[in-house]
Amino acid sequence: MTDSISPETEETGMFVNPAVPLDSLPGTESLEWTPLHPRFARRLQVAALIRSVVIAGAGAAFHLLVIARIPPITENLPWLPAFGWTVIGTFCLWSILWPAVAVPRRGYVVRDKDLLYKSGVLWRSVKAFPFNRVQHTKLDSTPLDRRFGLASLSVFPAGAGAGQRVRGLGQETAERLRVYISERIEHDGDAEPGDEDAARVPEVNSEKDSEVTGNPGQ
Amino acid sequence: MLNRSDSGGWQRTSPVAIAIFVGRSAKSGYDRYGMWSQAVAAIGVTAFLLRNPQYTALILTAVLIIFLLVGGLRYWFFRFRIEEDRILIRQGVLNRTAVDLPFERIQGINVNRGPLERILGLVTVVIDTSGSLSAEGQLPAVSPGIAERLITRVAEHQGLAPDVPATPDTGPDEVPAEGLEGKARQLAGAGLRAPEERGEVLHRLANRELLKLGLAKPGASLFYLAALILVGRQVDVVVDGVVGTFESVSGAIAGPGVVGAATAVTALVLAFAVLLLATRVGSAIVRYHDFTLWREGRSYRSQSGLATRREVAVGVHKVQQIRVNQSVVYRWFGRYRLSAPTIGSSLDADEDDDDGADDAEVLRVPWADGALVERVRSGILRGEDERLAILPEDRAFRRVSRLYIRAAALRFIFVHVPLVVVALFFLAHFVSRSWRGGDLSSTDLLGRYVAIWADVSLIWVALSLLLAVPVGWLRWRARAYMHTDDGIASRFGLLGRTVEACLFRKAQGVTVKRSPLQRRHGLATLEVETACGDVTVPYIEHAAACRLRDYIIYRAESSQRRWH
Repeated sequence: MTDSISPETEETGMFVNPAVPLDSLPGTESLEWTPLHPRFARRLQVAALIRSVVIAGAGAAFHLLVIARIPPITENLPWLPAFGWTVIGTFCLWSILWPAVAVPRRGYVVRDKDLLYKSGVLWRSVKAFPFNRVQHTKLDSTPLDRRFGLASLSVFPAGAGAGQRVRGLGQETAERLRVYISERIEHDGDAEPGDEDAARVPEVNSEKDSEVTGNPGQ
Repeated sequence: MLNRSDSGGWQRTSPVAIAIFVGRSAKSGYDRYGMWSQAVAAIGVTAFLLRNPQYTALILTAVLIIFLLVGGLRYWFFRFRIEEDRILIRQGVLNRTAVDLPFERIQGINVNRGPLERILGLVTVVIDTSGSLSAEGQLPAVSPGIAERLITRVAEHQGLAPDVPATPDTGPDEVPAEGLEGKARQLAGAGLRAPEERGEVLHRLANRELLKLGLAKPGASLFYLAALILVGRQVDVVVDGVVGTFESVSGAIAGPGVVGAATAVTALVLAFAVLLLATRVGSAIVRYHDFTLWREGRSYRSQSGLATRREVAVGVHKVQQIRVNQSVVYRWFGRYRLSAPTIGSSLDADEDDDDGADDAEVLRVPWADGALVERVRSGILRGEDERLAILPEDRAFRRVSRLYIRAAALRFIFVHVPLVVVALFFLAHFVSRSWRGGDLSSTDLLGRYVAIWADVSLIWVALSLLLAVPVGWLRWRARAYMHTDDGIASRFGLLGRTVEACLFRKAQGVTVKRSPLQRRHGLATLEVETACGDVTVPYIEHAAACRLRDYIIYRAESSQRRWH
C-alpha cells in the first residue's frame, strides 16, 4: 500500500513544497519515550481506593436500607446481594490494581514541532499533535495531584472533542512543557515561508528526564 | 466620501422584528431542549388538554402573551449603530450581548427574507465574518435601504483601507477586487441579486429531483414511535385507538375473519407508509425547494428553501473535510449527498436530521450526481492533488486486510447484542405492564416478564450470531481507503457507502491504534483527526500506517498555508 507516497515538487502560489525522500522523514519508532512521573500510578491507586470506599459505603447502605427490606427480592432472588457485591468488589480491586499495569505503558515525547503521546495496554495507541495546529494549552491539577506534586497538561487542537490530556507529569515538568509548547505555538504564528524544512531534530529530553527521575516534587 | 449624517445614534429595527424574535425564541428553545423533550412536552400538553379541555383557552392565551412579551422585550433591547468603520449591535434583555464588528473583518453581507418580510418589503441582514457569528451578527426586519447603506459603507471602507482582509490562501482562483463596484458586488447578498449574477451556478435542484430526494430520506418513523413509547402512560390510549380503528376498518372493508384482518393490516401499513413518505417529501420541499449551488469568488454558496430562503456560504480554504454519502436508496437513484464542513462544525451530530441543522458553516448538497461531486471536489482541492477519490465507486480505493471481517463480526456481536438485549428488557417491561389488570401476583408477573425477555433475547442472540459474519463481510466490502500525495480518503458503510476525505495539511493530530488482534497480525488503525471529525483507516499494515502517520504530520507541520 505504500507505493503511492512520492512527494513531488509543486508550486502553488507562494507555497513551495520541496521533495522529501520518504526515508529521511523523522520516524517515530526509534524515539526515547519519556515515562510519566513515577508517583503517578500511586496517585491513581489512592484515588481508586477512596472511590472504592465511597462505592462500598453506598452499596452497603443500599443493601441494608433498600434491598433487604423488599420481600419479593429477598425471597425470590436470594443470590442478588452476593452477585452485586462480587461485581462491586471486582470492579474496585481492578481499579486499584490496574494503574500499576497501565501507567508504565504511557509515555510522551516532545519534539521540535509536535507532541507524541502513547497509551494503552491491550489497545495501544500513539497520538501525534503538531504544535502548529494546537490552539491553546491548559495546565490543571486536582488537590490530590498537588499532594503528589503532579499536574496535567492538555493540548487543544481546533475542533470539538479533540486534543489530549497528559496526566501525571511532575509539576515542574508540566509547567516547563506548557511554556515550551506555548512558545512553539507563538513561534508558528510568525513563521517565514522559507523555514518550513527547518531542522526537525527530535527534542532531547534531557532536562525532563532528570526532572522525572531526580526531582522529588513537593 | 463618508456620509457622516447617518453615523449617529442608536437605531432599532422595525417592530416586525418582534415576530422574528418570537420565532427565534421558539427555535432556541427547540435547539436547547432537543427534539425528544419537545415531543414529550407536546404529547404531555395534548394529553392534559384532552382531559381538561376547560383550560385550553387559558393556556393558549398565556403562551401567546408570554411569547409576545418576550419578543417585545427582545425587540426593545435590540439596537444597532452604523459607524464610520464598524457596526455596533447591542441586544439581550437579561444577558446583554454587545458585538462590535469592524468593517475590515466583514467578508460578506447576506440579505435574507422570510415570508413575513417579503410581504412587508423588509429584509434581514446577516453579516458574514470569518468567525462564528451566527445569531449575533444579524439585523432582523430592517429596510432594504439600511442593507444597501451598510454594503456601500463596508465596500468603501475596504476599498480605502490598504490592508484588505488578509488572504494568505493564495489559490490560483483568486478574484481581484475591481474597485468599489466590484467590492460592493462581492459583499452584497442574496435578496438583492440572483445567484447567476453573483457567480458560476453549478447546480439547481429540479422539482422532480426534489421529489426523489424526499423519497430517499426515510427515518422519521422511528422518532415518532420512540416518542410514543417514552410517554408510557399514553401508550394504552394510542394502542386502544389503533386497535379500535383497525377493528372498525377491518369490519368495514371485508367483514370479520382472517382475510378481513389481513386486508386491514395491509391497508394500515400502507397508509402509514404513505403518510411517512408524504412527510418526508414535504420536509424536503420546504427545506430544499429551488436549491441552488454556485461558486462566488473563493467560496461556495447555496440557497434553498420554500418559505425562508436559507443561504450558506463556505470559503473553499475553510473546508476541513469532504464527506460523500450514498445510502441504498441514493444508490438506486445514482445520487450522492455531499457535505463539506468547516472548523468546529460536527458532521456526526446532524448526519440524519439535517432538517433541523441550521449552521451556516457546513456546505451541503443534498442531491448530487457524480459529475457535480467531482466538480465540487476539484474546486475545493484546486492546487492540490486532485486525484483524491471521493466517489465511493472510485477504482483507486484499496481494500483493507481481510481480518477486518472478523473484527467487524466480533464488534457486531459484542456491541449490538448487549444493546438489543437491554432494549428488549425494557420492551418486555412494557408488555408485562399491560397484564396488570389480570389476577397475577407481582411475583408471577416478574417471572413471566423475565421469561419473555430471556426467550426473545435468546432468539436475538442466535439470530445475531448468524448475522455477524455476513455483516462483517459487508462492512469489509465497504471498507477501503486511498491516499495521494496531499490527502487521504476512507470509505465505509454497510449497505450504503460513505467516503470521508481530508487533506494532510488540515490534520490536527494523527493516531495509530492497535488492538491485540491487530498486533498479532502486524496491523494497525490509522486515525487522522481534523477540526471536524476523524478520517479512519482500520486494518492496514502497521509499518505502512506508521509511515503514513510520519508523512502526514510532516505535511501538517511543514505547511505554511492557512488551514482555516
